[in-house]
Order: sequence, then structure tokens, then C-alpha cells
Amino acid sequence: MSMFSLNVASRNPQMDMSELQAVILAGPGKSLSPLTQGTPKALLPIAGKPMISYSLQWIESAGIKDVLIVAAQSHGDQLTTYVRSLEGRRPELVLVDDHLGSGAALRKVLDKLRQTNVVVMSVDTIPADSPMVLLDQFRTHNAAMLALYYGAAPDAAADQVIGLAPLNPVRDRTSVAPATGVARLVAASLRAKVTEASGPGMPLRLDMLREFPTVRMVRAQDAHLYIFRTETLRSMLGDKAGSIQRETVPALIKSQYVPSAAKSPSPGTVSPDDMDVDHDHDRHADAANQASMAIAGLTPSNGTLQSRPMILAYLSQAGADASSSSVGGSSMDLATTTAAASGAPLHAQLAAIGHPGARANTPTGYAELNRTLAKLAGEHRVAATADLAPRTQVGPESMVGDQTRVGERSSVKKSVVGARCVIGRNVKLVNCVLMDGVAIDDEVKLESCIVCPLAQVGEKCTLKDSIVAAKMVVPRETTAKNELFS
Amino acid sequence: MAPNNSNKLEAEEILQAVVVADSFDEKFMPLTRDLPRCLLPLCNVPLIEYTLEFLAVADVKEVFIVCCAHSDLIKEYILSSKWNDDTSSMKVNIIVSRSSMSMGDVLRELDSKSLLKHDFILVNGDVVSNLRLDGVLATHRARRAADKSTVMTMVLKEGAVFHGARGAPALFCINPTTSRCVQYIPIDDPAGPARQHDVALLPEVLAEHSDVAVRNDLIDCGVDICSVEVLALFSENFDYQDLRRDFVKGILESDLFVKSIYAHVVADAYAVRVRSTQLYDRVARDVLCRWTFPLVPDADALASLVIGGAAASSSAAHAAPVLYSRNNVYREKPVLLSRTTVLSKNVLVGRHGSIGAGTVLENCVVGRGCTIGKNVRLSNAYLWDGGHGWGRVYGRSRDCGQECGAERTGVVVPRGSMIGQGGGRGGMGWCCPERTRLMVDEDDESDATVVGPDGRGCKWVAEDEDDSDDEDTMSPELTMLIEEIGFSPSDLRAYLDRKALEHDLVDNDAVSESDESDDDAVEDAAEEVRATIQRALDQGHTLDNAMLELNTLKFACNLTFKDVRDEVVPCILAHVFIANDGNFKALLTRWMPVLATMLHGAKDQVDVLETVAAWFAAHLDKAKYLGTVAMVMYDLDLVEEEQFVAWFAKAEKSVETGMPAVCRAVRPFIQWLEEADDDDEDDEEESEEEDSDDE
Repeated sequence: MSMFSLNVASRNPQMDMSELQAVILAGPGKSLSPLTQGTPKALLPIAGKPMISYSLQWIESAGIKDVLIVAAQSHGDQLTTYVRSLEGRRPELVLVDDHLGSGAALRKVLDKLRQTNVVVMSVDTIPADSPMVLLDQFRTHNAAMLALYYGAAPDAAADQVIGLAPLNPVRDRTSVAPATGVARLVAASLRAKVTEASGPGMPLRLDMLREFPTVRMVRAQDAHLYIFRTETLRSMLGDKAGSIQRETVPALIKSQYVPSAAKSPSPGTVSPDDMDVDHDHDRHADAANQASMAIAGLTPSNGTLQSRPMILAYLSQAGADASSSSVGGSSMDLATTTAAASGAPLHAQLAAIGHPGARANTPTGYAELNRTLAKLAGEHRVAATADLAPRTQVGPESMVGDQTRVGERSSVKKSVVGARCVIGRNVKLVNCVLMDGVAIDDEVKLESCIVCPLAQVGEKCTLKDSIVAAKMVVPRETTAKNELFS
Repeated sequence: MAPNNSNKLEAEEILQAVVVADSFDEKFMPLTRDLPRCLLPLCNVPLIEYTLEFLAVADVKEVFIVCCAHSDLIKEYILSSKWNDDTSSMKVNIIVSRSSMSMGDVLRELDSKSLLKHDFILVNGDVVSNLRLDGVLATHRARRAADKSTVMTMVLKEGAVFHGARGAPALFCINPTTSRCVQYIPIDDPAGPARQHDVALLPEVLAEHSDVAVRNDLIDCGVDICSVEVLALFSENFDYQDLRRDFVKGILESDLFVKSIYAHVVADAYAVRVRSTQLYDRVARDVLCRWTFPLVPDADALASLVIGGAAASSSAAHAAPVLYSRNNVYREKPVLLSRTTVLSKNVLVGRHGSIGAGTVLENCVVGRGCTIGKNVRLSNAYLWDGGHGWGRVYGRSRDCGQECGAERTGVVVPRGSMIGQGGGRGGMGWCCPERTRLMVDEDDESDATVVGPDGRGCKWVAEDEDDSDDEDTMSPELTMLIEEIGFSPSDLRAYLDRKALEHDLVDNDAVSESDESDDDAVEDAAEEVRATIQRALDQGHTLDNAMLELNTLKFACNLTFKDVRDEVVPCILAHVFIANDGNFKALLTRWMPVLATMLHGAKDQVDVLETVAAWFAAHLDKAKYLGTVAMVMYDLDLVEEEQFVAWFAKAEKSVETGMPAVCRAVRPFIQWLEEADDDDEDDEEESEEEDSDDE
């Protein structure tokens, strides 16, 4: 097969996109604790399906067949079972130590990266943008990396302040980057850090402001979804990067404007590297040169070529206009149809209801995503095998799983109820997520709660903003707010 | 003349403007020794005329010209100009304020006179612009109606980072949706001695605004729409001097004032302040190339003007139209040109100019009554009224001066030179160095080494600048470069790239290391760390407090653990072994745990051992205690036993001074370690990776 036919194939999601590979990072999910007691994050149910199935679906809609799942060792068995249960070409599962950061975990699978480009995503992210749109932008601009941000995420969820520069100020006749769509990523900081009242604020390198005179600072949520040139990733991960967000991305951003120091440094001007105790200046400079070439995605040639890598940010946009501006994929037609068109890929359905995409990295985010996806479930929201007693209400944004029994005069509003749950009489569920096998006794009121598998909530309890861990039993007549039962 | 369509203005609200006819700097010296900057001729028309014309077009009815230096000349000029005519659309008042040393003084003076009743336009007397202000005024009024706290709208022009017209570079942080300016960040110097590499967006700004555009491409046009409140604010804050660096920055960053300042960014109009000689050159060329249309030499508004006020009669002016021909060549009749004279492009020759045979002019402005001899080559040269250039003068580039004259044969005036009034009659074959500034001082003494044996004039030397509002804190090298009239942006770019490269070479591994600090800052920070630990040691702080302080400092100064360790370890050792005698072990056990949070992984542990060893190598009399220190570090689980062994293996081979002695001192300990090899080692909590990512 020639190079040319490969490129043609890459346009068609039905065919194997051989230039691409995907890595799903399925960490232990510490920040979701205690939801992850006994269940790995990747297998936590969102609207009745394991979280990882959404990532796999998104990747599949890009036509990527070569998928690696890098997961934490401690949940290896459960994930292995899950992967075995998948039909078709199964992703490859690589288990790594629990405490490894995203960068370190990725380093473990570097030798398995065979393709030119690699999509790296966290398992807890559910984008509303078509992978084809992102890949198109990535290829069009010959980028070294593209990071997805949920630009229109609710303000509270925005965890980053990112700096955007216009891609091509002259051609686009713009001096300020647009706040949605694709732009050059020139700065990224944690929002909490730069808005800390007594802190120093957000540092801006003057080098950067010379290279990119206008930088638009916007708040956004990091989607933890990246497309890398494999070469770039390989050279940037080096041997110390622990986290992609905190180390690899900043280093890449910086490489866009820091003049390459590799020109011909005279020995002695380079101060000793802190980490590398006995390093050799020449070798070091040479390595730096190689590295900057690799970042830019160039093969090191005569060394005179000085090129700066292109790092892109794609800010997803909310609202119905989001999908109409997206190119390729099937989202175009979907903008007009209703959200109930469940045959379409999930991201297109999300875009159609104006959702910018979200992460399930916190219990709040997890509950929020459950509700959003329940909205999209359409007629399947109440399982056929569910047993609803008369005078029970199941609201339109709710789901009830297989073999779940709901007692009389109970109401389920904006809630997702898993399979094999037993819900008593006169129970009120608002904004809740109930996982599989949960027992709720009579006259319980739950609001904005997450109840983990096999937990039990006793009679006449009233819980608000609380989490009940797996297999816990909440004694009867408990009243609690913001409580954690574990 | 100014248009007379005064349709929008109500009778009671007369649009007022303030022209500050002083630049409070010395950039044009020695040219401004005898003439204020606003009266310097730009394309044979005094600069202030451009400014006044700009205001007249904006329908301004009353102008206050505030003059400080040379106020009598300005007064004289204005009184004899068309603005003082009955037909003038503007009432021009002159306020003399000799004591004012800055923009702040001027505005305070205006406040005390309470002449201004409404929102007014504040401009510098050296603004050249064809911008239509009515749109800006309308939006300003609308904003003011909506938001009473609006005090000012700055007019900024889009340019480029290295645009010469930017003046003192600064970042404007603007909310793109509301155009509100949320932070103003002056940049001291592009690459001065202080070597500023970072600026910071204030946390409050980021907390309050979800969308901020940081712009490094805006040219400050020196045009502002101000409310009367601005004057009061200046009076309240009597230390404010500069409009931008003090006022705008102060208002935006202070919690006391709830005032908003807006920015109006123009993309298409021409607007610039003639801040420097370099810009003078640039703007003059722009005028010749008609970028400033309708402010061009052949336009009625400017062509009828006369230089020097009463010197020439106004009747003569009307009879002298400027002819505009191909390649932007302007001739103000009558002009005497030889048949072999070449006016190649962008040339303006003033009235009664006479140019000899074989002379070639390019990008030149020749003042009125100038005589240029034969075979003269002038490019990028500005000769003011009455200047002479006699035979074979090669004005390589950019000299300007009044009645100047490189008069004799074979004179070369290289780029960047300025010759003051009456100065620089260079002798035969005279050639001055680049960027010479000549003047004739009071005693008319001539410096023969500069102007040649029979020349006249001497070199102008800048006085020491110790003013408080001194904005030139740049490195001398760069100041030279920027102030030079024949300077091009690419020069600066190359200069900065070189500087940045030097910086990054020092800054080690700039690409992969996310550490952003530069070495000066690190040195300061190191000093700070030393002071902190010393304070803790001397005053016996608790361990937690000391650790907290160090940790805070580490983040505040963006230090690495190694930076902190390198300072802390010697301080502790000095404290234990030099400041005290006896009970070393207890003191060590008390203080060494400070390092606990600073050691991550094997490399760090080896590194800290090296730091310790280096200290002992420098204090060999104490070397016998190294074993104790090592023991304490081992007991406190600071360093694992393999790292001791690894370090020792390397240290043994070292030939640095003191190292053999150090090794001897620690050998027993290492041997003990190796013998007790079967110890458990699982209690070490450190691992190679210290990540806790939530992936």
C-alpha cells in the first residue's frame, strides 16, 4: 500500500487509519474516591455504561483501530475481563503501577507507539467534538500537538487559564485569537494558582510576547485529550516528565518561542544541569538540537533549519452553532435533528444539545455527566426488565436500569438508577446517581447524592449532596448534608 | 482648513482639548535647544500644526496649549498663526506653566485653573494623525453614560512588537468584549541591565475577568479622551507623573479607586507621536508617502503654512502652492533646480531652494531657502530652513538641523547625525563619526577634532539623567541603538534575539525545564533563602515554620529543590559547627529534617551528599564530624544507604581539593553501612516518581 492511498484512507472513518494510534489513560481515579473503591474509574458506570466505553466509542468514530489502554495495576483483573468482553478488534491493555503520573505511564508504552500520530486521552473525558474535526486541524496546521479544552464549560469547572494567539494574523486579518475553535496555545496555567489572591499572578515570558504579540487569556477546562506527533511525544517525555498537563504541555508551549539554544553554544556558557551530574556539554547541546528538531517534527538535517513547533489548542464551543461549523463527520446533519437521534455518535449528540463536553474527574463532574447522558438516552431510559410499581414517576432526564424495582409513589427525577436496584415506596430521588444493586428503603429522600454499588440506605433517610460508598449501609432516619458514608 | 460642520454639538457642551506642548525629555537635543519640539518642522510644517489640524477635524472648539520650555516661542508662533485668526474654528488659549516637569504637573496645574468643564481630548503636541475622533468620542460618551466610573479612553493603534512608534513598550491587557483596560504592564527595557524576562498578570485580574487579551502590539498614540475627574485624580495623587506608568497603572491596580479606563484600538487610521528622532524620520517619510492623507504637503491645510510665524508674510504663502509629482516629489514654487539634479523619490524641496548640478536627493526634505551645491548626495536627510550643503556633501542618511551645513567640499555626514542650529560647518574633507550630534553653544567654541580645522560647533553630550520620571533605564548599548535616528526594527530584533540566546544558554536546558526564573532572580532568591534559614536558625523557629517558609519561598521565587537545598545545607552546617560548639548531634537532628521535603529520589539524595561534602571540603578542620552528619542523615531517613554508597564510590575518585580528606572522614561510616548490609530498606518511602496525577 502506497503512502498516497494511506492518506486517502485516513479521510474515511470506515477504513483503518494507519497513521493513527490512540492511548487511553485509565488511572486509579483517586480524585473520584470513594466511588472507585472496588471499581476502577474506567468501569464506573455513566448512564448505564462503563466510562471507558465512551472513550472507545469516540476513538472508534475516528476510525482508529490501534488502541492501547494504559491502566493502573490494582484494577487489572476487572479491566482485563472487560476488554475480553469487547467485540471486534480488542484494544491492548497495559498495566502500570498505580502511582505513576500520566507522563510516566505514557513512557511505559512508548515502544508500543508505532504510528506517526497518537491520540492520548484520559478515560474520564467525554468530548462533544468530532475526532475528525480535531484531526483535521492537527493535520492542516502541521502541528506538533493539539490539546482539547472545554472552552464553554461552566465557569466553576474551568481549571485552567490558557493563552491563545492567532494562528495566522496576517491572512486572517485578526490581531486577537478567537475564543472558540482552533488557536495557537502559548500559555497554560492552573487557574487556582494564578488567581490566588496573594500570589504572583500569571507569569508571562517576554520572549513569548515578542513572538506572539497578542495573547488572549481565557478560562477553560482541560479536556485531557491530546493529539501528539509521536516523535514529539517521544522527545518531550524524556526521562523525567511525570505529568502531561504539568510538564509535557508547558515544555512544548515554551519550545514555540524560546530561541533554540542549540545553535553552537561555546563550552562553559552552559551552567551545569541540576539533574544530570556528569553531563557532557557537547553531547548535551547536540541532544538539545535533536530534541528541538524532533519537537518540530523534522528529521535532523544539516542543522541550519530552525523551526518552531506549532502547538494548538482546540476550544470546544457550546450552543447549536457549534456543530454547524464543524467540518466533516456526520455532525452536520445532526444539528438540525433532535437529540433523540441516538444512532449518531455520542459527541454529535452532545454537540446537538449544545454541550461543550466534560470530564468525570470529580464526583460532581461524574454526576453531572450521568445526568447529561441520561438526557440523550431517549426511549431506552427505562430498561424493559425494570419493574416500576404503579404511581411511580420517572422524569424525562432519568434512567432506570435492568431488573430494578421501584416501589409505589416513588419519583425519580434527573437521576440515573443502575441495574438490580431495589427502591422502596415513597422514595424521592433528585439529581442522584445510583449504581448497580443499590437498595433504598421506604420514604427516603435523596438529593444530589451518589450511591455506590450494593450500598443500602435505610428507611426515612434524608441525604443531600452526599456520597455513599460501596456496600455501605446508612442507618434508618439519618439526615445528612455534604456527608461521606464510607 | 478645518471643516465647519458643528452639527452634533450642543451649545452648552463645547468640545475642549488640551495640547501638552512639551515632551519632558531630551531626545531631540540639540535640535530642541533653541526650538521646542512642537515647533520643529516636519516636512517644513511645525509639528504642532499637525496636532491642531487633527483636533480641528475632530470639531474641537477650544484648545488649551500648555507650554513649559520655550513657552515664549510657542506663544509667538500661535499668535501669528491662522489659529489666532477670526476665521479659525477653534479658540486657542496658551497656558504657560514653566515649573511643570511632567505630564502630572501639567494636569495638576489645569486642575487648579478649572478651565475644563467636560470630557476633553488630551494630546501631546507632537501627534500626527488622520484619525477621525468622532467615533471614539461617541463610544466614550456612551460608556460614560452607562458606567459612571469611566474616566478615560486611550486611543491605541495596532502595530507590531518592534514598531518604533511604540515608545516605552508596555502591555495593555484589555477585555476583548468590553474594551476595558484591566491591567497596564510597563516593560522596563527590552534587554536592559535589569534583564526583565517575565511580567505577571495580576491574580485579581484573572479572577475577575474570564477573557483578557494581553497585547504587546499597540502603539500609544498619545491621544486620550479624559473626563474632568482625571485632573482631580492627578491632584489627589500628587506623586503621579506619567500618564501611563503612574496614572493608568495606579488607577487600575489600586483598590481605592473604582474607576474604569477603556482602550480604543484603531487599526486603519494613521496615528503616531513623534517621540524620537527615529520616528521623526519615519513620520516625515510617511507624510511624503501620503499615509497621513489628508495631512500631506500639498494639501491646503498644510501648504499655506509658514515657518517661523511672522518671519514670512501670509500673503506670500498663498502664492506658493506645492506641486506634487510622480514618486512623491514635492516642490514648493519657486525652486531652482539644475537640469542634472535628480530628485529620485520622496523628496520635498521648500520655497527658494536651490540645488546644484549633479546632485541626487532621495527621501529628503529640504527646507525653505536652502542651497545645495553641486554633486551632493543626500539620502534620508532633513535640511531645515536656510541649510546649505555645498559641493560633494554625502549626507549618507538622516541628518537634520537648521541653518546647518556641511558646507565644504568632500564632507561626509554619516547616518544618525544631527546638527544643531548654526552648527557644524565642517571643514574640507570632514567626516564625523556616526550618530554625532553637533551644536553651537553659548560661547561659540568649536571643537576642531569634531568639526574639522575650520568648522564651527561642538559635540552635544547628554547631561546625566537623574530625573525621577526617567524612562530610559535601558542598557547604554540599546539606548544608542534605539535613539539613533537611522535605526531599524530589525536591528533591535537581532539584538534581542542575541540577548535571549545568551540568556537561555545560561538558563540551561531551556526547552525541557519548566523553570522560568533567570539567574539574577535566582541569585536574589538564593539570598532570600539564606536569610530565611538563617533567621530560623538564629531565632530557633519550629521546624514546621521553617519548612513552611522555605516552601513558600521556593514557590514564590520559582526555585528548584536543588536551589533551596544548596543554600540551606551550608547554612545549617555553619550554624551547627561554627556558631555552636558541642552537642552537634542534637542540633543536627533538630535541623536536618528541614531537608526532608526537599529530597525526591536517588539523584537528589546524592546531590545533597555532594553539597554536604563540598561544605566540609571547604571547612577541612570540621571534616571529622562528617561521619556524624552522615549518621544523622541516615537515621532521619533523609538519604538511603545505596545513595551513600553510590556517592562515596564517586567521591573517592574525585581529586578536588579537600575531597580525599572528606572521604577519609566518612569511610568508617560507609564501611559500617556496608557491613550492616542486611538491614531492611523497605521503610524508605521515596520512589522514583513523585506524581499524583489524577489521570
